[in-house]
Amino acid sequence: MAKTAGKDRTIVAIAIVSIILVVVMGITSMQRERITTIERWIGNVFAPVQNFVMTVTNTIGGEVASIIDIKNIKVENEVLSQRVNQLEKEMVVLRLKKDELEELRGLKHALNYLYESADGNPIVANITAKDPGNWFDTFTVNAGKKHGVEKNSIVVNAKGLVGRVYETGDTWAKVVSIIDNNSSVSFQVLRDARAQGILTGSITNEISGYLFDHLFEIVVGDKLVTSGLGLYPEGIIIGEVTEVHTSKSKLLKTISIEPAVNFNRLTKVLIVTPNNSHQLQEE
Amino acid sequence: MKNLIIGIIIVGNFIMQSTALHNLSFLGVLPNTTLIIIITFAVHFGKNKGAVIGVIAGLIQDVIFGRAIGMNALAYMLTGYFIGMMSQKIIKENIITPILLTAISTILNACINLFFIYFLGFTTEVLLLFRESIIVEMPYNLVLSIPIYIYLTKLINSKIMKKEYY
Repeated sequence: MAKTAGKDRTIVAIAIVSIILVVVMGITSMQRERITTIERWIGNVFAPVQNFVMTVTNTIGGEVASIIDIKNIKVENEVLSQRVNQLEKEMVVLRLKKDELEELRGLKHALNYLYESADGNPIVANITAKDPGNWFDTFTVNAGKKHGVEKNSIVVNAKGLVGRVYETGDTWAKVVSIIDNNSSVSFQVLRDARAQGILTGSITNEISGYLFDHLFEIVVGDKLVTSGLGLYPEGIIIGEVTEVHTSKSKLLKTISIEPAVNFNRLTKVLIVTPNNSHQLQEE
Repeated sequence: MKNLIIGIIIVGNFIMQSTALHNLSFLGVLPNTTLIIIITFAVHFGKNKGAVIGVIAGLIQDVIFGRAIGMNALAYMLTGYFIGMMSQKIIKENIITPILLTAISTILNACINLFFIYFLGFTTEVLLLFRESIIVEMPYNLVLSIPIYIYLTKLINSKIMKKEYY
């Protein structure tokens, strides 16, 4: 008799905890303005430890990799020094263009022309930890509210778009990458800004999407950049088209793209806080 | 002492899993070492402790990374509870035990998670996700479950776990 009562109690406890968790899940499933104090503190405790372990593993991993690839490094070195020469030549040309651009900007200002600028200082952050689960593609960085990171800040690296800030703690922030299932980006084709569409992440590290205008001839190798509609400012590189599918009815053109950023090797990112105009455009 | 060691293992595993283990990802998929550890503890300590350990391990993961807090906690709690329920009827020393239990709980865990991922509207590609987790994640989990299970079993049976004071 006592045994059955004890058994019932555990099942009841499990059921109650389950219901509580489901309710909490429902409440927290939407993106919130601000996270609770408990979450913030747990994050504050874990972030430095994870940051330390991540730095150690990255250093060791980097050392081991460089020992293994010493031959490739030599080849790469040669290729890179050639590239430096080439880029220096290009720089001279670009400097001339820059002067011209500045002149035109001054003119624009004089004419009181309305324009958006990506203001706000970019914040450099290290990735402290990545989600161990395989369902979502989120990671944490070692910069938070104290450093000026806000919700929906944009995360980029040297190669292109990485994602957006989902929630912020004091010294850490949760970032959702663009390859996450639940993230979508509006894009335009680099060579023709009129061709726009929407990309969504998927479970494989590939992003797929569709074009608004199904008649536009998009080809493999086309570079895509953000279109400025929605959260992300215009002109950040997303990636390259790897596949183009036209559906049988020919009304929808879907594409697969390879992101410009290598998400497996990501260690450092740049966080740009959104300016107000972008926040207003959101939804 | 026992609880302290369990706590250290859970937290230490979470930190390693979110940082160093990413270097061992295979086809972009990571093994779920948390799940294996929860199974091992549930087998040795029974369903109540299994459920508690599961809920704590899940909550840590949810708070740091989760989109909806409670998803992993619920999945790990139920996994810990069911594995703990079976623990009286199985031979703990057999090598087949961790393999079989890991297989069952990987599927169970995926089902619970995907149920909520679908109904909270995170994605509609649930079947694709399920297939991915069964084909890639499960074999990886199975391979890792053997050494982790054996090592943790040794630790649990060692003297240090039975000390009352510390």
